[in-house]
Amino acid sequence: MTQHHRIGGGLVDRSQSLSFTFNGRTMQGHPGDTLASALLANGVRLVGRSFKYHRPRGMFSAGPEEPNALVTLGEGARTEPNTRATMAELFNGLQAASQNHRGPLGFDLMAATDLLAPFLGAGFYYKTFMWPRAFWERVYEPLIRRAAGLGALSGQDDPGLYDKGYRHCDVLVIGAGPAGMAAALAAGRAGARVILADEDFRPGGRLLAEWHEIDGQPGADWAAAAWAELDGMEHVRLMPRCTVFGVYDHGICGAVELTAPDTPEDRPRQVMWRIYARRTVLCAGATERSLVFPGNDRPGVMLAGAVQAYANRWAVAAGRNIAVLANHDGGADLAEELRAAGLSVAAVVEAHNGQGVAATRGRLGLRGVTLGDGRRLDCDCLAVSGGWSPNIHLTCHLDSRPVWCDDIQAFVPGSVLPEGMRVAGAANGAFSLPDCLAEGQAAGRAAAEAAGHPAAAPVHRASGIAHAPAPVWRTGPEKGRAWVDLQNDVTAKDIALARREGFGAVEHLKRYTTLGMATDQGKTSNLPGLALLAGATGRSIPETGTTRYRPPYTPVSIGAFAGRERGRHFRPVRHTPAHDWAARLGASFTESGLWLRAEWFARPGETGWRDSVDREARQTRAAVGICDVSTLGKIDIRGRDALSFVDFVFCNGFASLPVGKVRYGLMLREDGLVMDDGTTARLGEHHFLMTTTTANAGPVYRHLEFVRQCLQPHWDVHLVPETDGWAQFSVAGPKSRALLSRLVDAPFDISNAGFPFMACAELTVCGGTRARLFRISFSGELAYEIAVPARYGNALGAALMEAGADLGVLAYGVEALDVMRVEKGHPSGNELNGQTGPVHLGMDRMASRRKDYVGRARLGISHVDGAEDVQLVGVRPVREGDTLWNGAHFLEPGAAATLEADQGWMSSVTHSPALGHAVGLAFIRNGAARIGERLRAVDLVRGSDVEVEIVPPHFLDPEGERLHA
Amino acid sequence: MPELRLTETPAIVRAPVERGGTRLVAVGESGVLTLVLRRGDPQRLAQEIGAALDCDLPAVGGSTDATGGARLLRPAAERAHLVTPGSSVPSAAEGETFYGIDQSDYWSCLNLSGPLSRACLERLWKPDLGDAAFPPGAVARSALGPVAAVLCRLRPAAYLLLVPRSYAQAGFDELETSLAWV
Repeated sequence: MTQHHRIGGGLVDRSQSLSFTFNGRTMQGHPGDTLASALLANGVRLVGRSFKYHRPRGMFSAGPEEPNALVTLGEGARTEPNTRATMAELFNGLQAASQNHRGPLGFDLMAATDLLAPFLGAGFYYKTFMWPRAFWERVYEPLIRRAAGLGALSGQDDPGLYDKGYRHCDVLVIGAGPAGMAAALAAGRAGARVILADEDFRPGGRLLAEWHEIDGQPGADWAAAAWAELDGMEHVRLMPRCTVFGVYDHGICGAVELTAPDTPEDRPRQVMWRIYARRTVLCAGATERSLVFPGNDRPGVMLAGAVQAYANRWAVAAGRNIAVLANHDGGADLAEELRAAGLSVAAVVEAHNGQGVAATRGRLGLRGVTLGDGRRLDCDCLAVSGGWSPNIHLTCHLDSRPVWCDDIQAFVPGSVLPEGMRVAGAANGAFSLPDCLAEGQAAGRAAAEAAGHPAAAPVHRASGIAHAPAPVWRTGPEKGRAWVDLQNDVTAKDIALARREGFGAVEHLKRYTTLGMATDQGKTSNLPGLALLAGATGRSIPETGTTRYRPPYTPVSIGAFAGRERGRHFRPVRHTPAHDWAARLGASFTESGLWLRAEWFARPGETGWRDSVDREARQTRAAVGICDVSTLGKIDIRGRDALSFVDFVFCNGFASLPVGKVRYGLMLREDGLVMDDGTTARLGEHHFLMTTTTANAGPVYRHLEFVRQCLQPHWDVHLVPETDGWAQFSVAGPKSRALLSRLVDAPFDISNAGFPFMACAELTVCGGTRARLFRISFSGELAYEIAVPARYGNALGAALMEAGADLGVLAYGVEALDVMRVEKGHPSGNELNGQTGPVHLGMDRMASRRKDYVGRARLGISHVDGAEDVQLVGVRPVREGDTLWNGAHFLEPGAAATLEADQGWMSSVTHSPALGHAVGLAFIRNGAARIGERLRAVDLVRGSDVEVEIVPPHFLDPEGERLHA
Repeated sequence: MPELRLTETPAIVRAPVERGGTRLVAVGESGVLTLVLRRGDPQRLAQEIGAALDCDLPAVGGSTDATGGARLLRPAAERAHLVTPGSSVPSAAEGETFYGIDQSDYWSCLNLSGPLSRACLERLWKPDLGDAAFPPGAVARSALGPVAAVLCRLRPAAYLLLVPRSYAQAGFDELETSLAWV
């Protein structure tokens, strides 16, 4: 195909040709074309099929409001469905295909649906697909799913790259038409930091489509010169191809920037920006409306402004013999322009003077119209204008409402606007060029001055008038299908039907008919639909009101919202300071929050994780094991009131803790339930080191800062997070002291007398490396934790292994750690899950009744409904070979598995290598008083029902002899 | 039993990345002394800092040069970080109005410099990086994407970042990606 419909003039670069394909046929275009303009230039009018009736459809507009020309770009994994051809910038090699048809585009088998139109009116699905019920999921749903939608995804991972970013400015100008340019020039020349964003790849807005002069130059030239001037200002950032899609609180706007089509594939194709603007000037222009008349959906029926834009900007004849239908005097002006471009004008139909179009003909493309007076005209294009609607959407995203303006028969921004926003130009209902320029200039100046940059007041010279539309929304007879929403195939009859069926409120109309609910969001159809509804209900349009505007203004890809946060960027991975050591030792790693932690260290010959874990637990209890516990939170607390602070944040007493000792602390939330537990060491008179669980390092720190700053602001206490600064190992087992004695530098006394249970100290190890030592135990064995600055983490692990080789030292992971703590009966995350208090954990006596602390007021009061009286106990299977399952619930023998009969649940389970059978920790109603009782542990998901005995939770060494060895 | 000595592992081992005249470097050795600044008498605080560290105490959100090529960053009213070349930090850093904690192992340092450095940061850093809000010498505490960080603008197109050690690789990755994509 050659470009038979290309005419003279325009703003495309004819010196270069671009090759593209549509439905497999190769065609040519030029830089500056959109896919739509290039298709029209090649004489392609049919580009798709409508949603419901599969009617032939062609280009309707030239901009983002396009309801018909939705195509699929690309192929394979790079397929991009539902792309507006009017917004797709042409590039060499572009591949496009039409959507929503079975068989060729010109012979869509699904077009038979159109014959069923009388049965497929608004809301038909509420009245059909009822019977038989068995067909719902097996027949109706698959059929409807296949029929629904327009384009189709590839089903493959999207290889495209996306990113996000943040920009700040004094003045954000949205729209680079005449008003926006004037605003940006005024603000930029005043020295304000300006961002000028426009969704188009070429600035100028309607200046590119219409014949105007500004300051003695053609409008398009003036726009280019203004753009160049702005580009030369260091404090001005230009963002073409950037759609501001939403306005949010505090002057923040969301925008999506498309990169140029020739951007390499290893760069993002879209960037989502969060723009923080002190002031915003909305110059988003206006969108033309159509008129409602029978047969108004044929390929060739287009918005008049689009016909004008194709002719003037893209040098494309939308038709060779064009009729014009308008409800204002602008139709005559357009006709004059088209004749000057060498096109034939069949007629100018003035709807504001009682004329109209009663019918159209031409199935795959317009061939003619029948006028209201019965005359038949031949034409291949009908340019329709029902007036212009200001693009007020962004003004309403924060719930303000637009107001009706009779003068232009449109809604304009209301008096309450988002913080810092002004509206100028056509978006404000000012349709003449001089008014656009003046408003833009004033708004830009005001915005700059509000941001502290006094601005001059240049005047742009231009002339032009606006044509006020008559309140005519419909022409032609009521008989015959007249489309209102082209994309969702909503007709005037649907609106009348909705009204008859009681859906007379505009929000109900929208949802019942789906008017305005397609990807074009009703940009060309909402107002005609409102007008018809108003007429049907005997109300005015302002009385009828509008639906609520919400972001995004135009569709935004999910990829843009995700940005780079996929794959390795989905979330950061944190390595402990001893990670390399563990990896060299063959650790299997698991995710613990963002951390990677060694879960076990498999040895040759072991057939599964149980072999490794059981070995690690057994050998640790028999000799000595080391475990990297660096991920536990560490918070340095100092100050003259540090002791009072620590005593205030824990429910148990710390006031008597001497220097050089560690104490277990239970930290409550303000509701009296447990937030976290850990040990706190008193390293000095006014110096403490608090540990937290891994998962709660951040939340506990935030909580402590809240206590410090808000609850006790007069105290001298300061917090410094130290988690990342130290590598820490647990050294556990009967030979742990022997092992550590080989590392600690003299004269440190690590004997039981010199360093008893729950002692702490700062010392040096390995010939002078500073360290901290804590004698604490999570495993129940004689145990210590040794910490060195993080840079020595790998080396410490290696040193412990080397020093303990003859003692039988081994490394153990978090699985063995968990086995040992369950055997010992220590609660952990499963038990401290935010739903339990001290009384449930059997720690009620720990919670002081004498001092004030966080959570004291609600102590013993807050609980989870249905779990008021549960208490932590141990359980063991009556038959030693039985398996216990975490999450199992307990029932009395013979009881039915009902909520009412539920006695509690299993919170932690392990196989105990020490005991040779499974053990569990459980929350059982009045558990402490039921030791020795037998219940059933029932897991309906896994089909398990095991008889268990309630026992004390400390399965090993309940007297703690090993701890104090 | 042979004498055991502990050797060091750097927080991050990554070769510098360069593109468009912009360079991203993981600083191998640097010391960070975190100073906790007590509320109270600001003049006395400034005097004590000057006496202990031989440098001026910057205003909140600013930084100053210190002796030996060090820089004192003050991201918050009660917090400052003395960043020193090499891994040693002053040991006698304590007064009535402040105290110091050697956090050379807690923080990792990244340097980003060159014409694309601000564009790189814009992809990750929410606060305003403009000349008025964040001039050379400014310091701020926020997040580099998912990584908490302290950012100092050393010169018009040169930045120093402090990120917690366990996030150093992630922070470097994010900046490296930004440098490749801007």
